[in-house]
Amino acid sequence: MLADLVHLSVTGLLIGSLLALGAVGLSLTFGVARFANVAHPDFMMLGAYATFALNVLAGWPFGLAAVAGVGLALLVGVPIARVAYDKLPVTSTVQLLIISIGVSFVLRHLVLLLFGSELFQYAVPLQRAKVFGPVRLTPNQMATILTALVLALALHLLLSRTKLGRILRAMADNPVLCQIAGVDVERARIAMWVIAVLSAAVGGVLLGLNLVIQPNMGWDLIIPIFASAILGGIGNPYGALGGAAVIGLAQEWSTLVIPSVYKEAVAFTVMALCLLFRPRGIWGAK
Amino acid sequence: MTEYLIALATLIGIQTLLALGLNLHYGITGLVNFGHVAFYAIGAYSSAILSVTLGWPPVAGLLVGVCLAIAASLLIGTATLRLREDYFAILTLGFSELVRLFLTNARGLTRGVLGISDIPRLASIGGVPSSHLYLLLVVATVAAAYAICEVLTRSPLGRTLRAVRDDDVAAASLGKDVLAFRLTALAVGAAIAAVAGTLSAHYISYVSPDQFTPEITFYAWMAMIIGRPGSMRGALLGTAILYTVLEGTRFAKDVAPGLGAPQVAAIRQVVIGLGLIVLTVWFRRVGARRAV
Repeated sequence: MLADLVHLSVTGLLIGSLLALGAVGLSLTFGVARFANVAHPDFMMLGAYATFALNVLAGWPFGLAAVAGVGLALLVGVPIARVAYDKLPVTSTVQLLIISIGVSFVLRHLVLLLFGSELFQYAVPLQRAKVFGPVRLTPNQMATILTALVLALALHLLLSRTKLGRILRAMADNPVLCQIAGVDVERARIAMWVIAVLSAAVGGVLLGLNLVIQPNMGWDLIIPIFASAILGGIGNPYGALGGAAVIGLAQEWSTLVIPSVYKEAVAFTVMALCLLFRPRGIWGAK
Repeated sequence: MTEYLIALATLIGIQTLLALGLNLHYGITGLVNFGHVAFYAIGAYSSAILSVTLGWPPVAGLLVGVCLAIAASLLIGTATLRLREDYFAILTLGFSELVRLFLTNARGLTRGVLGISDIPRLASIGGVPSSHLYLLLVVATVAAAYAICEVLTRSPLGRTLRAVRDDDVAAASLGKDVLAFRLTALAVGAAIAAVAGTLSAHYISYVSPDQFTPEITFYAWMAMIIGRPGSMRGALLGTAILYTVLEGTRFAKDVAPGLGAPQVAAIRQVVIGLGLIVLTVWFRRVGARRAV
């Protein structure tokens, strides 16, 4: 029982790190661009497929393919986000929401057309798990958790210590005032999309490494990722990190009591309860 | 050919019910419902389970489906309608995916991915083929739903709903219980969707989880946007246009013979995505609400 709990907690934190990489960017764009980008988890899928193409189809070593794959995802994802969300003449949040649904449909099915619906894996050697007392982790799993933490720390430093971070936080707070104060809003939005797509693509590469690569790999995580971002307080990227850990753990622990296929229902329930009782997130004010 | 047109008309009729309900939600009341297919699925599976597993008459399935859909809509609505519109959108989308997850995995009740087949069809009466009778039934239902929606829209209730859509704070300050009005609209639209589900289950005589993907929701959105949100006649016309075009894409295989069925399906989805983007930008009426 205790061993089960330890094992589930480790898996929960692993899933939590993957969710966190999706949720931080989502939370950032939700705060700054002020709409829920439903296509955000599909940017994860882009990262995974770009890496897959370079690693398996082109035969590059995994590390190189991952770095180049994230770059490729940026080259594809950022212009799409810029055109769809920043350049189209829209007047309301609802339009952006519907457009993001459209972007998600297009991305997933273009990838389906190009690669088919097969499940893929990277060409990486099978790894033996390292044992630390009751905890067993493969090097890939450790790298996943470490990457999530490093990226979260980098984002924290960026948002709290740099000029760009100050601008992004100010834009989340009051976009009109920012423009009046002479902030280059366009450049800041490009930077925001780069951060969002970058963190998602890194998350996608790791998602593909830990699970499988398929066109709906991002879309399938839409509930837990949004749950993480909402739990962390929308617009609060480090809150999202904590939210992701809570969702990851809640999902895994729930398998002790309910069938594991209903894990997503747990994330959904946590999200609904959070919206009902603490709409600003668990760390936010009531 | 006649049979094909009758089948197309029946399909359009059933889907019109979804667009009408969604129009009541979004077009009239301003609720961004991204999970409309959930209520449709609840109606269809209630009918399938009650009529096949328990052998009850179709009316029982209809009533149970409507009640369950109303209950689900009130639950979701109470939890989120006080919040920003994007939260409601995400919650409803999540809810519809959860319903599908449940239908796929609760094998004892729903037979999982196999689905439930042999749902009783309408028998032919007096030499009139059952497909013709069924179309009549569907048309009558659409007419009734259309009448209900129009009456609701034109009644004082409809005026309040539009006031809630355009400025909920002003409506609340005039003493209107905004949440109660939103929930009413949500429940009526959900009930109509459940009726559509029952009609669909008894028409194709088979239900499976993959009939209830989010695509259905966004087809209804497209139909509503084509017809202009807020116009019930537009919802009718929009659905007819959309489904005629979508049916047309089935013949794409004849034009480009190199494509297999999965490719054609994927291309259709890409077209849906682009269509959503283009229509949303083109028909500004979608954005007539205040930006939040």
